Amino acid sequence: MLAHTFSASLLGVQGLPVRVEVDVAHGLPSLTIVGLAGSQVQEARERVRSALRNSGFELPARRITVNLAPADLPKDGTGYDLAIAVGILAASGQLPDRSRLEEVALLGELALDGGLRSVVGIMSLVAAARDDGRRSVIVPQADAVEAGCVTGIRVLPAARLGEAVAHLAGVRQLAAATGLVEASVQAPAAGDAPDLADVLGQAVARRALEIAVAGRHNLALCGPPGVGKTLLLRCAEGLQPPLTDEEALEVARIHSAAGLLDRRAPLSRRRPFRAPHHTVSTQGLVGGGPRVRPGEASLAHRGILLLDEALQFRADALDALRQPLESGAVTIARAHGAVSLPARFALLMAFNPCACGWRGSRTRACKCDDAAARRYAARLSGPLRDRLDLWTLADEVPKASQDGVEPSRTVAERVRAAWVRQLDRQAQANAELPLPGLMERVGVTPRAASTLEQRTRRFALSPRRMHRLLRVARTIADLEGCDAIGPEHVDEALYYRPEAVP
Amino acid sequence: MGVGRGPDRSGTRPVPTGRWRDLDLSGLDPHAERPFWVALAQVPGIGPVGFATLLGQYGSARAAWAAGDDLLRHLPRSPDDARMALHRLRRAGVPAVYRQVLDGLKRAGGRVMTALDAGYPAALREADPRPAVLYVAGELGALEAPCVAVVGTRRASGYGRAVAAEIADELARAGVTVVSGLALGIDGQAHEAAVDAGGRSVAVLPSPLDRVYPPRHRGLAERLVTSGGALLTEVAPGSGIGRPDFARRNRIIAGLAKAVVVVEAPDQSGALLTAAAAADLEREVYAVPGPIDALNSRGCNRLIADNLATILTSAAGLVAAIGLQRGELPPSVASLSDPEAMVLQQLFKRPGSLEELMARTGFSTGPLASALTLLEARGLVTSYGGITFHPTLLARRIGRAG
Repeated sequence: MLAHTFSASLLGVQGLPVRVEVDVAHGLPSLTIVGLAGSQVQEARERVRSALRNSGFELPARRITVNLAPADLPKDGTGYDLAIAVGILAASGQLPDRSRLEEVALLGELALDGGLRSVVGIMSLVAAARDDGRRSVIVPQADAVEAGCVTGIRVLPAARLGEAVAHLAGVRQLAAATGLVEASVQAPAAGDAPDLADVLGQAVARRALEIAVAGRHNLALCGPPGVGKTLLLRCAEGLQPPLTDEEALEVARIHSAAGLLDRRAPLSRRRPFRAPHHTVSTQGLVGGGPRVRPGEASLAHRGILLLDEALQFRADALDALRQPLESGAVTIARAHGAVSLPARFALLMAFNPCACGWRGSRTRACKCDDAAARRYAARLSGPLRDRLDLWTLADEVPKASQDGVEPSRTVAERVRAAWVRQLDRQAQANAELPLPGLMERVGVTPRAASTLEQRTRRFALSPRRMHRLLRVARTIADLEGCDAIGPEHVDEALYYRPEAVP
Repeated sequence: MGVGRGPDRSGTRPVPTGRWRDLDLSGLDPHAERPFWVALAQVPGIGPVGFATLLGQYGSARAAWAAGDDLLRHLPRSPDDARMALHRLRRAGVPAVYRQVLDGLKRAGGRVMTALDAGYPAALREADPRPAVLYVAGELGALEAPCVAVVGTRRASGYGRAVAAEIADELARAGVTVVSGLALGIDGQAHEAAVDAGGRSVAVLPSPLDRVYPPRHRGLAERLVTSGGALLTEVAPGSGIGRPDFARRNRIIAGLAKAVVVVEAPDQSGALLTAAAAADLEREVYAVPGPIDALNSRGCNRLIADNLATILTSAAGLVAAIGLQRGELPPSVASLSDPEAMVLQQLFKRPGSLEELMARTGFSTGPLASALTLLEARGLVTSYGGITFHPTLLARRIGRAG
């Protein structure tokens, strides 16, 4: 006899609907799973076999074929167990009333005793089921909160295979998970980010960081070792404004797909802050691998990606960041088509001016020869340089007096106010403003326009640089609470140009 | 044995001393001798002293050449590569070697001269040792004006660059030819400022004319030639493989100039060799002092402390010290608005970083960054890629004019 159930598969951070077809036929007893099923899916046979028996059902001694459609999509993971088990029950007549199977998607890994275990990327899977037309979805109890964040579908948590079957048979209804969305949205925690009050001096770098965080611009900070570059940039975590509801959902889906979400509080307003070590692989940085896992760039989506000792990163890893920096997404080409991972982050980079770190220092001798210094500088490729908006040098001798140094709280308030202005005006960050109509959208006073024109000529700015400059000037004006960009905002934005750094 | 200064066994000639002033070159025909000078000067190990020794020993380059391997006995050192090079050149023959050099010069747009030629720089004619053969591009008329060498480290700080530019600017305006080595850093800055001021500048290269070193200054080298200056080198065209000989280059720089100014030099800087050569040649040596904790100024400060150089306290003072009138100043340019003028005033008092200016002016980061960009756009301040801002020459002129 033939039966089918509905489930979903994860590709990158995207969920795709999967139809599980089960055929129970005469022949030698066997259980075969087809449809480009990976090894984790093949092992479902053993889990399903035991789970059915230990839940009081029986695995028919027939020739059972399970097909996961579409059959040309490679499938991995353990989330199909429940759908396969229910499909077998339906096809073997142990679930006579099949009416509910059409409207319910089934997600969950089976334990040998029939319990339901959680699945990676449940948010994307539930959303895929909703978009495929399912009205409800049965998820493992452990994933209830996470799955409950998805609106537009009834989420039915079940602890065991038996409960799910009872619900489908109409014997005992499962209670829907409700009201989880609002409750789980948390205010950003102060966290363990360092405070700007603890950073010595570095007034210029502080200001550049404030601008970068407020407008989500990319920042390059160059300076000798030990002057507080890392500490300063780590302060950025505590300066970020909270995520909007929409952003929080996007971020949670990515983290859910990476299996990194806090299951009890999946929706957080805290902006991501990722600081991978410089030994990270290209795949680790931008994502990929056989199962297309999101990389650090995607985990930093809507937040900050900090590359400390940026020039120590592998050259190909750094270069791979060019695409997300330009388009806000990483596209990974696979044999079966391309997978797109969202990755719209603000890039913060800290690096030394040369391999020994003391080039240009007044008090310490640099040990690098000229050729080595040039090779070192060349690690930052031209195209990547072009995409960094703010460049600044860290002072070699931080000022000893800390009078008038602002704590993170004060700066975060200014950043937040500037962020609100951006949301009200354009519903996106200044750094993400699209090129068409940029001049009109940012609002430039006539004097600022003439300053911009003069500076473009004087400093030989390319059109791309000029546009990036305008976006930065927009953020500076937002920090000052100005509606239009003035000449002083253009000039300040120009102060942080790459030529100012050797 | 055979150290050149030993007793002369032939007994017919004066004892070769390796000193040019002891030689009598009046009987030699510059034209006939030139190919042999060119060939002989290409043998490694035959430097200015060795060349003089051979001339003393054999009377002429032609005779020295005819002596074959025997001439190696008279060199201070006769390394194996000198012997091999000599064999190679002898196999090719002097006419072929000379023709090859002339071809190379034609391509590079230069010419060759020996110490016998009339056009040989007068200042070098008095120097001892003096380079036997020189390759020249451009006009040597610039060397007839008083010459001052401005030299210093390749890894110059903003301070060094600003001072080098100011000194070269003052010198050029007073009609002085600025001589330097075309190196990155101080040398290049001095050449550039001299040419910018409408003056002439001569670069002595460590490399052949057809392979200007450093490559990044090839454009600057062309500017020097087109603005009435010249490029000089001891290295024959086409022979630029191997390490450039900076020490010999520096001796020529010192020889050409009546005074040498060391702008910025760390310990063991090549500029200190130029200063030592200048002292040898009895040229005046000036050094620009720097902060005592600045690595880049340690060589200069030591020259001053050891009484090896006169302390230089202003560019204008240098012009007066070498007995010249200061040049005309160009007229003042437009005035500035308040905050920018205040920042510029502060920078006149003392160059500083944005953070230092915050403390000195009371402005906050944003307005200061904005003011500095505006001043930089108008060419009034520059940071030379560092954190410290300096007023430019243009700003100093406006400042001086009121």
